[in-house]
Amino acid sequence: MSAQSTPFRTELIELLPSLRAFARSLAHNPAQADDLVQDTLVKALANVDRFEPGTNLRAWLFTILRNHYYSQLRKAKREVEDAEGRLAARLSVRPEQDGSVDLEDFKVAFKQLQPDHREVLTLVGASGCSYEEAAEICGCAVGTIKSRVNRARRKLTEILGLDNEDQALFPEPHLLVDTASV
Amino acid sequence: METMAPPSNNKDTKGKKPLVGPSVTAHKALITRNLRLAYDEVAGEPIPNKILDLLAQMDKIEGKGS
Repeated sequence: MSAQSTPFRTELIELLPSLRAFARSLAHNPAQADDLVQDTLVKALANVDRFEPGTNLRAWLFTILRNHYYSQLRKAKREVEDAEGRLAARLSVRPEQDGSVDLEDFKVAFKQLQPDHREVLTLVGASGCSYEEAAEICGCAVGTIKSRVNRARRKLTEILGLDNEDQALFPEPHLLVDTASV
Repeated sequence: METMAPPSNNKDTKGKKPLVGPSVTAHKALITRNLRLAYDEVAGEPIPNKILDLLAQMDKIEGKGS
């Protein structure tokens, strides 16, 4: 199958915005995110024959992107840890009096999460993926995704300074409403 | 897309300890709202030229190869 002369190509271009947004949630800066997207496109187009038409192209592309990201992360672990340390040092997030949080502060807090927490929150909470789709992309069980979302949300609440005595009331994963919500 | 379940007024739950406190529900809503804002912000950006250029280059390679 040709990547250029089929609906694959059209759908791929349509998915670029969400692919970029997913990459941005994992990468440490916009340039790195777009490099991830570029590498993903090269890999996808080189392996287009492995894609089964009619199946979930978004999940396939997201999987390629995350696998590539984690591959790079393993190679550059030291630099990443250094970058995260600098980021953490800059963080000073306090919720407003009305409980709202500035979007830029939210982004800084979000970047402090570990990558697997960032990815599940983005997949389930923002990209519109179902828990099942997120599990397919991340290569794990649906239950793992649910518990990871719960832990990620709890950690983000803590970083944002929103945690209080109600923290103990976070439901266990099996008590979460079974929808793709964060 | 609505993601947050509204507070339950079901009488069957009356007297039972709620699973999620109101502030926790508000925190979840806040996180979901900001996640989507951040996501949509990027998704709404124009595709960078370097990515479009890459696709165009691959078109040329494909054209030569076929």
